[in-house]
Amino acid sequence: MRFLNSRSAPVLLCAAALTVGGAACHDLTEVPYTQVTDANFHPTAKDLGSLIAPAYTPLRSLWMGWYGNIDTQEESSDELLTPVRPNGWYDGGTYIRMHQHRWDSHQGQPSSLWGNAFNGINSVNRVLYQIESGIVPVTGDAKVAIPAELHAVRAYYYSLLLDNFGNVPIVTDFTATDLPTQSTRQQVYDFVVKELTDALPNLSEATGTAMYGRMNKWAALAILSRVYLNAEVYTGTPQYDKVIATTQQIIDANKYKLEASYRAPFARTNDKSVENIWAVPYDAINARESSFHMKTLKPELRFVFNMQAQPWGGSASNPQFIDTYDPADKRLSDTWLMGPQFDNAGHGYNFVKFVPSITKTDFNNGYPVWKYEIYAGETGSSDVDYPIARYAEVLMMKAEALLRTGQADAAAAIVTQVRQRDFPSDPTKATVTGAQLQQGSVYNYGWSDTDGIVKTGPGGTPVTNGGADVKYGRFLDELGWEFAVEGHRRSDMIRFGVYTTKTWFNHVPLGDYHALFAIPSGALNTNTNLQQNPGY
Amino acid sequence: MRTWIFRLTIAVAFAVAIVTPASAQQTGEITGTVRDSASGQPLPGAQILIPGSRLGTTVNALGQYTLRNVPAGQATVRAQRLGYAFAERTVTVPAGGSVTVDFTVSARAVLLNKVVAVGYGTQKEEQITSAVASVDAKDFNQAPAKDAASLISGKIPGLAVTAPTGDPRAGTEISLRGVTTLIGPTSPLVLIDGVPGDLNTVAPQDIDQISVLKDASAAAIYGSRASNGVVLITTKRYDGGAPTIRYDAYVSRSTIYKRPDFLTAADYRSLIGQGYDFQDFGTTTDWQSAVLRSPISSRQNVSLTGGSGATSYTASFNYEDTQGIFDRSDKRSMTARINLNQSMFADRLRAEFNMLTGINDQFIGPDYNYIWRQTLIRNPTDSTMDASGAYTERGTYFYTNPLGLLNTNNGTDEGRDMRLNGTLKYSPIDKLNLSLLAGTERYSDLSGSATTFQNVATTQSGLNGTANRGTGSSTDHILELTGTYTPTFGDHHATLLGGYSYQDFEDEGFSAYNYGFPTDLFGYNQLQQGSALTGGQASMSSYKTSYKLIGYFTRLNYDWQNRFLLNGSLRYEGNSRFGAAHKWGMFPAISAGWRLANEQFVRRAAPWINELKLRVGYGVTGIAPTSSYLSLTSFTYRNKFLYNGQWVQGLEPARNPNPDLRWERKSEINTGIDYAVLDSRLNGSLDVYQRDTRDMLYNYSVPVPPYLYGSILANVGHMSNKGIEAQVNFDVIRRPTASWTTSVNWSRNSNRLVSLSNDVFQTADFFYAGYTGEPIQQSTHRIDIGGPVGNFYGYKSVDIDTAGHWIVLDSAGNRISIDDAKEKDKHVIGNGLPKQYLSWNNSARYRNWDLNVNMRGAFGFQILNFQRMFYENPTITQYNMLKSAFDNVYGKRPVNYDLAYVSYYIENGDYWKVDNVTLGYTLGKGALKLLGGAVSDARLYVSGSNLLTITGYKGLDPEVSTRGLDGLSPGNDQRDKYPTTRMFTTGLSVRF
Repeated sequence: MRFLNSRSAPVLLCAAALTVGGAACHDLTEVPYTQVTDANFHPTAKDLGSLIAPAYTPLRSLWMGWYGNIDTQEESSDELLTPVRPNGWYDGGTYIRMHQHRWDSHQGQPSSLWGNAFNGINSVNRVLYQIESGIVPVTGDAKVAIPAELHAVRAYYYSLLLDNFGNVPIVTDFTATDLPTQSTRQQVYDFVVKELTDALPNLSEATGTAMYGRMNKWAALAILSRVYLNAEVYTGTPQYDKVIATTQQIIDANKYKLEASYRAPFARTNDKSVENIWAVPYDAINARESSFHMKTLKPELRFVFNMQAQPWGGSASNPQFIDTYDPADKRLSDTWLMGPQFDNAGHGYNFVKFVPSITKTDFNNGYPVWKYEIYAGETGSSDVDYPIARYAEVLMMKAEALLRTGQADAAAAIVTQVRQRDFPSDPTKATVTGAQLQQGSVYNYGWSDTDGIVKTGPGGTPVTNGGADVKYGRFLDELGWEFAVEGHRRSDMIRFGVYTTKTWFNHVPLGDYHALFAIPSGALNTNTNLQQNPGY
Repeated sequence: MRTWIFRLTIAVAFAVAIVTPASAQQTGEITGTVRDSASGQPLPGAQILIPGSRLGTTVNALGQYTLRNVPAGQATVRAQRLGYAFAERTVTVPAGGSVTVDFTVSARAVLLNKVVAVGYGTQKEEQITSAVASVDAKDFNQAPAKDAASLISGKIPGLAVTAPTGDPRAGTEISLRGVTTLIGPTSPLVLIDGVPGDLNTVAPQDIDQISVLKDASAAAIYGSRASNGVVLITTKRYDGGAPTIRYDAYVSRSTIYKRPDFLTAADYRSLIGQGYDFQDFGTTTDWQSAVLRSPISSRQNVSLTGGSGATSYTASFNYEDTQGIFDRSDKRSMTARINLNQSMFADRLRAEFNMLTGINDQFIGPDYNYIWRQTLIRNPTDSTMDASGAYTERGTYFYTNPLGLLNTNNGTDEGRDMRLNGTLKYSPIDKLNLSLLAGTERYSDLSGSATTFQNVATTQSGLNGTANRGTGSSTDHILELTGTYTPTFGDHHATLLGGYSYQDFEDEGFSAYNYGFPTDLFGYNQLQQGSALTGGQASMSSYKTSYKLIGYFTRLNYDWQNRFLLNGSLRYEGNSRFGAAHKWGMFPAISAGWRLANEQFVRRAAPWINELKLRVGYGVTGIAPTSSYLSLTSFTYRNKFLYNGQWVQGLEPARNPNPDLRWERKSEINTGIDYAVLDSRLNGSLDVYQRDTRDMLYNYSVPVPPYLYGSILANVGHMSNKGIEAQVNFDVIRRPTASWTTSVNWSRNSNRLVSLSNDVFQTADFFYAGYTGEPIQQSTHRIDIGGPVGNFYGYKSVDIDTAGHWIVLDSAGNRISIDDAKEKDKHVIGNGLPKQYLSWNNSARYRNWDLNVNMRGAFGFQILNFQRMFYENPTITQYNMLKSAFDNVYGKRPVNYDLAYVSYYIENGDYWKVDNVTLGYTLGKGALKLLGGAVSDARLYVSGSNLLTITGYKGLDPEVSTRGLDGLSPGNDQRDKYPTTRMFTTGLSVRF
């Protein structure tokens, strides 16, 4: 009889056993059909990829996912806006708060960064524990290379926490069960530097497919350079000489070079780019977290680009930032989607620079970001990998360190080198001088009023040269043009002293403490050892 | 089921009157029988007494009585029994002799003498000492029922049955005595003739009685599944007799209850003339009419009963065809049921076999909620089809032709249910009964749906047809052994129950999805033809889970002289889903009752009291989590990782293990009174309860590290509910030719989350629930420790400024612009859980006519009107909107701000509904004769459901979900809700 399958047997057995008082009918052991448990899983070396995966995979939602770090870093900066659109984008004011720096501990974007970073840190700790305790068998070179790699990945997560929250708990022991205690920003800085430095000798020097998406020596050096570049912000003590030394190591290794085209590091096939040192691999099928293109493209652009998905239509450029570009700079049109964009049936928009306000816009106000390649058939998940570190940044870090240590001309030579590909119509414009780099910023900081004119405040008097007083402002401008919408802008603005001092678009400065985000309420509520950052 | 146990008990209960011995010379005896006037059957348990004296006795199982020591001479003797009119006769009692007085008494329409299913047995209602309510078939709601719960909607105080959607495929929502869990299951345990099932398992026409174990002292015998109450469904069985066929059928027509008032094409044009930025496409379309219909639904039920001697059978067949108000939203179901009974060895052995099989066919594919949204927001000047014959599409954000969505997505889901069970009952000696129940259920479903090339998935997204197929199967087994012993010692009567219960459950399934088809001709029948499989974009999945539930239980029912009642039960139960340290738990219950009406002093002082029972009960029940494996350390393959150029599956923690995971423990104390006075014309009950859920499950956010995973399921919280329930039934008219019974049910509940933290797991003092959905993207509710579930939490709007921006109150109560408001400026702005429910049911009969009028309402709650929140905003001109969008807000001006969640959209939800009116006519003997005598009974009726709602609520229907989409956001009237309907029905019941 069909209904009497194998599982009927225990029932019948039980019925029989009960009459004599059996124990079979008293057994409540669970039978997990779809779970890997300690009891049924015995990893071997071939499982290594699966086991170390969770150390890296949080980077995907961390960077280009919903409420990703690209939003956290860019929306709070002077480059990118997510204004209210005809289809919404008010969302309880969350994007407006990011723009106006009126966030508190409930702000979702920084909370998401915190969660993703600690998720990655915990995974690293777990895998390190598994390797050290022999649960995961690791042999040969991997015995030192894998732990070094994991230490460096963890240091990267901590470098993000160092930059955004400053005072965070340092946890390295997977078996510890006590609630972690908070460290100072100086301690976190020291930890990150030490971990990266210690890992360097054991890290793989390989590039290409084998280490793609993973932390090799060059990636670790790039991250270390970035931490040194911001050392003065983090600790009060500058480390520009160290920046020069660590970037020079990458340059001397001669493993990477600038692409001929500015767009190549952001192409759909950018996993082949020789400029990208470390990237987060995204894939429309296997790694689907990248949705930033959905957030910035406007709904009817699906017809223009023949996309499979209909984009959501939020973020676009701040007109003041667009005004800083030299119109001959190809990076302007390589980054931002400008002017009329229509398909044959007339779907589309004529994008204009003008954005009336953060609270009311039409779809065509402001330029959407198309720096990351948009392609036919694109779904809600982009194939384009996010470059965490690329060779241009290494060069620019070295240039900035040179500039700040009184070697402006040497710095200018490097900046010129980076700009070579950006002025095909007028190659002479690629050249910058040391004197130029020491000028103020061409960014016209001030309130962008509803009529599009930059003023002292709403209805105030017009402002010109709002950024002229920014020290090395021209270098900040160079960073803006080269790294627009790559998630660098907030740190750069802080380092150049404008993030908490300048007015832009509908943002006014609200105090220096905004250079750090509030420790998320979710973290405070679950760990009583944590103290909120000052000011919040 | 076990009435006979009680008959036996009573058979021995020759109650002895409490009299002082007197000399035989001065007294005599009265003997005789008491019988039901209609059936002629003996009436055991009836009381015989001499009014004005302390003399009295009780009638035995054979209907006989002997009243001794009656003073010689004239005496008036009375026979009375609950549910019957009393009878009195005056006789002369001979000294030292005997006089015979036989009574026939006629039944009164009262409830208290009935037998009620109480779990692993039945009990006389009069002997129940906990909060148990039951409704018999004759008192069911007469309207076409969505499921078993709609039969008793408004009939049981404390049991709120809500029909929050008009979707014919959706059932009702049951809420018993408030919210007692945060994330545990909220549905009650439903047992059909003792075997677990659900409210849809049997056809409403096949149900004889629905009994609800409301409090823990009644439900604790079901242990860890009982916290949401236990619904015991007893199906109709006929004890043999002549072969009979019954036929019931109805046809009904539904219409949308209320249409939302959106702008028409004419409104568009007039507004464009006024300078508004609407687009005129030049045609006129009433989108609501385009997708809605007024469908006809029907149900037919045939049952065959009969038997001879020791064998009896009941078989029924039920066919239902339900159509929703959206085009193509259909459901057809068939159920067949067979019940066979056989008795052997002088009734010492009884065997019973039950088979129930059902086939449920429903149309799937279109998402009616999304279609409804698109219907409402569609531009009324736009065409349904363009010049090329394709569905008109515009490419606007989240804006799709609803007719296209409706007509280009085809699918069916066929569910098959098969339940087999059998019971063997053996009585080796008198008073001892052993029973073995074994059964199995298998439910499986097979679904498939596909979009055609005309669907937007192809016309806009270029997928070239999509198709999916899925199947799921769940199997469970049940084995129960019970033994009942019913000893009697003088005035002491007891029933002792002991038992063992074993159940296992297994759930598994498979699904696959593909797209990129060369043709859309095959629908979902050639999944392999899609190109997405080779592109890696097709998907497939399979799963399997299982769990076990084992229980040992015992119960003692005891009474002394039917005056003092005591019931106690204990269940020791284990569930495989719990942590290793807590697999087993104990669920005790005790309750006691005092039947004051059976006390001499009450009988003498207030003979008009027919029943007065005080009862008090305490018990502990549990709630188990709904998923298996939650306590285990386990990992799962989740995010893929690029490793050496290959995507490998990353192994991640699935959860934090919690070896201490156990059930939520709900303890409940219940005190009540059952009463019947004035010849039982007025009767009812009153209950007061407090229920405390401790060890309440909650998903705690925990820091990572040291935890593996950002949350852990743990038993920490404490939730408290207090309430009062009352029922008053009154026979206004009680005549042979006319009757009118009116019944009022009222309940009130207050809820409080007492705590949610302990030393190990801590949360903030609150958490959020509910969600507006995009584009507002806000939580709607907040649950504060110390506060009730259901609080709306958002900006408290008080005014609008000249620019059309909201003025809200900040945390200090100052008026500020919403532009300056922060999270801390949000307030509690209402509560979505009704505090009180009231219902009023009337049942009247005059000669052959009968009339039922049921009304019910909910009071003391608020609703967040999503339709107004989303569609009362004149700035969003790319979508259609409510006409009221142009009304002045706070008497000043229309809104000129983006969509926002503010208290302006919170409305009082109080309502009073005329739920159902049914008028019936029963054919008289003359009319039946005209039919040739084959028909022995026939009734015709017409019925109207959801006829009228009295409410101040501006939305479509204030009867909204008391749970919300996430279980903790009551009162959210979602904008995409499948609209509710009004229904008119005609039907007949015939017995051959």
